[in-house]
Amino acid sequence: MFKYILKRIASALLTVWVVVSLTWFMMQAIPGDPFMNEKRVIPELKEQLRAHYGLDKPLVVQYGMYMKNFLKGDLGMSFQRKDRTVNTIIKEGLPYTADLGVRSIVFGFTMGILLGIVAALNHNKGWDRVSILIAVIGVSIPAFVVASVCQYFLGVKLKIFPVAQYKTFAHTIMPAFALSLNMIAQVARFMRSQMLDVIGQDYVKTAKAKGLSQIKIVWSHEIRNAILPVITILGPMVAAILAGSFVVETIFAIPGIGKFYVQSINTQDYSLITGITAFVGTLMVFINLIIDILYGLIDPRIRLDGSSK
Amino acid sequence: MKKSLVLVLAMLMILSVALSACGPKAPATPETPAPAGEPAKEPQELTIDLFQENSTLDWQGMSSTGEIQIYNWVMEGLTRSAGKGTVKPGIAEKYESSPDGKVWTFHLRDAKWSDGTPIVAADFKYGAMRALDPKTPRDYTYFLYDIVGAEEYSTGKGSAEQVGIKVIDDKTIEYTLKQPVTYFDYLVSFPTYAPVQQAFAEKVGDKFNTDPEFFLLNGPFKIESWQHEAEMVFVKNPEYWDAASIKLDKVTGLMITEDSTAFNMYESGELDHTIQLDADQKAAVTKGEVKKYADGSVWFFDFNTTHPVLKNKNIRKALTYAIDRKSFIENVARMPWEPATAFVQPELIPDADGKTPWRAAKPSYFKDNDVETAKQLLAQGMKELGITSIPKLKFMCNDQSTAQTYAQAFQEMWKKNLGVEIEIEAVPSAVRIDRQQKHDYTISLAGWGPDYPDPMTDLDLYVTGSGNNDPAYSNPEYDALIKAAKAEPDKAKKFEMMRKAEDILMDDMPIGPIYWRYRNYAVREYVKGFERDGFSPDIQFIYAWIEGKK
Repeated sequence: MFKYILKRIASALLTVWVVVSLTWFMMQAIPGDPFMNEKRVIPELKEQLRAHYGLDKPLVVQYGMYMKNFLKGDLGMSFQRKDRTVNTIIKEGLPYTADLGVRSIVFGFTMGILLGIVAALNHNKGWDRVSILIAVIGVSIPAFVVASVCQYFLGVKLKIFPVAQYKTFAHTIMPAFALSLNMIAQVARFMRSQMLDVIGQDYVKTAKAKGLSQIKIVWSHEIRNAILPVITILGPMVAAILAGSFVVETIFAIPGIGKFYVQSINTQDYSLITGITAFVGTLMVFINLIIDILYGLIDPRIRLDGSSK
Repeated sequence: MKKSLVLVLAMLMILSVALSACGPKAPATPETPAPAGEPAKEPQELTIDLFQENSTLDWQGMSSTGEIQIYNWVMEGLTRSAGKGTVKPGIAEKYESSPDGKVWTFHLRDAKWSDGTPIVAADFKYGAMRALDPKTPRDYTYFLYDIVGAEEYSTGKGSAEQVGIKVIDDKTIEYTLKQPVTYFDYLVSFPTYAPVQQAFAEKVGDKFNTDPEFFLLNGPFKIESWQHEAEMVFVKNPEYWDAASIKLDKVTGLMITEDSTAFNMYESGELDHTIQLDADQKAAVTKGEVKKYADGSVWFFDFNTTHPVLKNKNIRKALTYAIDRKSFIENVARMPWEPATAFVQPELIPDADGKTPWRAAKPSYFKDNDVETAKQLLAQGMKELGITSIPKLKFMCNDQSTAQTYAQAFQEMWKKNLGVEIEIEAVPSAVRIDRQQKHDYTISLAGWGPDYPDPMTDLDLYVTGSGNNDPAYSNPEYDALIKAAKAEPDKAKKFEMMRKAEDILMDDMPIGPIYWRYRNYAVREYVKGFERDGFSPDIQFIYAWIEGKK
């Protein structure tokens, strides 16, 4: 297991390096530069600015300088926020994005599992149909539509929740719900189908025949076996939540790092977009690694390194 | 099954409650306490939409409207904006210029920084030299280039000692200019000319103006708190020399980038003001709360005059005259804009007397939707070029949906009125600007807002070789008029030259004016004295107050 983890970490680091390099070069390929503005900086001043930020050096030299600093953990200065470093921007914004993400994932995953279990245990009855309806809604309607609708009806018209910002628990409910709906739908459907599969297994029939209580059968046999494959979709789900947070953060004026993804490209803030991509890429790679390890821990039958027990 | 459901539900509730205790909480905005012994009065507190975090609050690094308006709230230069491009005495209680307009002398009043130390003339010189420092180039350093020796020092070709800024004594500072600049008193209100106390700047170093504890301010308000990307809270500065005129105690600026969210917050009472309203939002707001102002910008077609067809001025004029601006504004844009049938804006740009609008003497150069004349000009242009039809022309616009909708409207009008086929190229904004600058386009839609209250802010864009001359327009007579106007000390003669220059520009039409932009915005009726201005600063609440809030 230890060797496997080391191999995976090495592979993760290589992946991050490729992602950062690709992003860096792609940003350089976009026409224009960070000083592109309707109000033109006069040419002499533009040359001074380019020299000041090292943009007048050959591309390879700029890349070398960037990677050297990157390895030291210095993601550079932002062109968009001239007085702040990329590290500071990420450090300030990350708690909000992480908080929103964790709430959405925990709520979405829990509700999805719950709904899936209830649907499976009430197969072809009322709750099952409710689950299908929620799944269709959750998969069809994008997060930003849910966010806007919730904001208008629950915030403006009914005044149940604050319309925007992220200050108290009440502020977190609408954004977390909007972001989690797709996850609830996907997890519920997947959990339902896994549960139905497990319910039909012989060992469940044996457990019933032995006279075990309903709770024990559902918890110890059905859920434990059904939930394992669901964990495998957690990785892509986390990525989807992160991607969805970009829009939800903008709609609810949450000061996370999501909005910089789009803004940085429009303003050609090379350092910021590369820094955030590196950060998020690293996060995703390591989240997937953790999920894989979790998979092995939950089911002792699984050997992550491919060997047989 | 029911028991398991109950169990799971119970787990969920516990989890949610546990989560509510986690995560960052924004710092609570401190309540402004009522002074002891005084009867309770209506809280003088305002909440506005700041739109977004600014790129920098380092005065000498500022360039955007959002930054400059914050400067106006917390700082004061030698002069201060009095709205609509005019200025009034600020830290300088009086000033004068020499007869040739090249030497300006400012006399400072007794005024203090927010830490109680006096503001002196040396602070203004230090601020200007900071802007000119060749080691730290900044976007608007060129605003000081009218000063003798400034450009040379800034570009490393001269020394600091040669810069024409002289501290006569603690209360007097003198600027020597290369040529007469009639609006120099306006320029010194700009943040590039801001005073900076040298001792403070050296003490805080790179942290200058990055967080509230690293600001030294001299304006009507101070920054009490700043949650980056979320909000800024301003409170009245008791050390401001004119604190008695300031009625508001606290202003909270929320950074809401999404228009619809800002509108929703206004509707729910969380904001007292919105940046702007579209047509549907305007209809939903109480009539008395809707206001309109000229944001000062003019929007026009950029015609690449090096293009084989667009090199002909009659073709360019035909394309300009054939647009139905009124219909475009009412039915397509649905904004409170005005059709532009001339270039220099009707609002904010005065004539030689400093009061009458420049546009009053000649409101327009052509008629809106003049299809008949457009057809004649098109025929004339084709004859001059020796062609019998116009090839398909490319129209470059931003890739946002509104920009593409506008492009489609122009495409339709040109097809219907002139039979000219247009292909739309939608590109990201940075690409559009880059291609325009390199003259790698055919027709584009562009806009320009004035930097200062003088027609030259618009007219000198189109001298040969100017960095903003996207059409690559070149007319020696035009260049000569602009150059002479800049050097002319007699204001009447100067303005006469600029008038002739605009005549030439509108006859050659390298740019085809379409609309002058106005905006609707909302502000609560209980907020008195609140204004918006097309010149920076935009949002003006310094002299506002709250009255009649229920």
